[in-house]
Amino acid sequence: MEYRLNFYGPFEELFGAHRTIQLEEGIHFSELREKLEEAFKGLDAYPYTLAQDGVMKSEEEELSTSAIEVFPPFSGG
Amino acid sequence: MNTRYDRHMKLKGWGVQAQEQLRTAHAVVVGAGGLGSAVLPYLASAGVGKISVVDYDRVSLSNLQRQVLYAEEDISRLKAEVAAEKLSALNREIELVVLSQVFESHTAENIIRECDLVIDCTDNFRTRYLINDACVRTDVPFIFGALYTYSGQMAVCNYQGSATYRCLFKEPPTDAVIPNCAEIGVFSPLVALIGSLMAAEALKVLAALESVQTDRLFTYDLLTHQQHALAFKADVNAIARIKNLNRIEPIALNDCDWNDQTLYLSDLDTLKDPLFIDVRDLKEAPLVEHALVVKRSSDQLLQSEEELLNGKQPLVLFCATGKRARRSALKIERENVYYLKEDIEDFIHYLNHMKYD
Repeated sequence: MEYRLNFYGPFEELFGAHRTIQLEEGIHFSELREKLEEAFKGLDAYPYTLAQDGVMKSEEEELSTSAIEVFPPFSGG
Repeated sequence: MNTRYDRHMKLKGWGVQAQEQLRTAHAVVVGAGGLGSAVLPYLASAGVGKISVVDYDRVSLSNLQRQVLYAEEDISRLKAEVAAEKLSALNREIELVVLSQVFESHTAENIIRECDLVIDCTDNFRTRYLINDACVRTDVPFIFGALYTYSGQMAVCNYQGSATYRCLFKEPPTDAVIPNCAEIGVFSPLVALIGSLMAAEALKVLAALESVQTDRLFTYDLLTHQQHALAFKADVNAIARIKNLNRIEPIALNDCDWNDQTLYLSDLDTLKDPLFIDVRDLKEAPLVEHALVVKRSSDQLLQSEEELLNGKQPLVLFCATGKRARRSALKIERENVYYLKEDIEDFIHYLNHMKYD
């Protein structure tokens, strides 16, 4: 199944604002993290939070909808 | 209660009680740069009774684009002192505490222990995680704001059992992979926007209003005006781990961290006959041409230059932000080797105005 990825902040510059990825349906977010880090070189150097429908997801939750948000922390002030 | 606060007092849901809560409140603002410049005047003008301003830094020319609390005449002065003067002129009824120091692990808890709210206006992960940990351990709520070029983030944390920053981003980056404003720039109105959101939540927390927005990360992009409210939950394990530490652990971030080789512009006048070494790539702009500056890439510096590496003259390595200079300085086994942790434009301004024999 094709999932749409929305990247923000520095990720938008590194990987583009919107990308897609093919994944099995119903995988856990822990697996998603592995798949993303395989597909997007350099992502593993960053801390980031994964979310769907505006809600942060924990590692043990399963993917529900087809859109995934990837939020990095910002440091500027 | 005087007429100064009349427009707040007339607000539905505010009133005498909320204003009195502000009058007796104590907020600690860590960082008096861009976000601090935006947040502080709203706290002072609203009548927050006591405000502590923590910042070790001095005002520089490149700050003035977005740090609107300062003026040209303030360049080279300590930000916390200048901020307190300006805020005092805005509202002489409030108490201002100037703390011109680095917010460090061994003093953090003492600084915030008696306060009602910490407002994180810093520009680095080291201090951000330190604020999180200190606030969790002392049970003080905090609000953080952070910027990336045209985008900003803001959240209220640790308020009445709500989620914390580590619930969102468990650990700091292992390396300084996320660039800061000195490296990639920042859109000045973004500072005002995110600072205003932080000030709004701060006043709501301090006035004990019920509408404080916890457990949500607010993001805003000023290029597209897209905004998000990301819901997140308290991670009880992450919170318990910090609470159970014997003491706060210093946050080490490799590239971001301080050590005894770190110099700021204000330290340079204490060095006798320093030589400044530009470790950037040969053609990297802006070019720095000055009698006291030599250009050596990091590799060149390590491979040769015996007279430099064996002498005793203080060497001050610099680059665009201090990160590459730090890496180079750590490799050189010699006394009196330092790196400058400053924006290169500010260093150029310093060079152009320095007096030397």
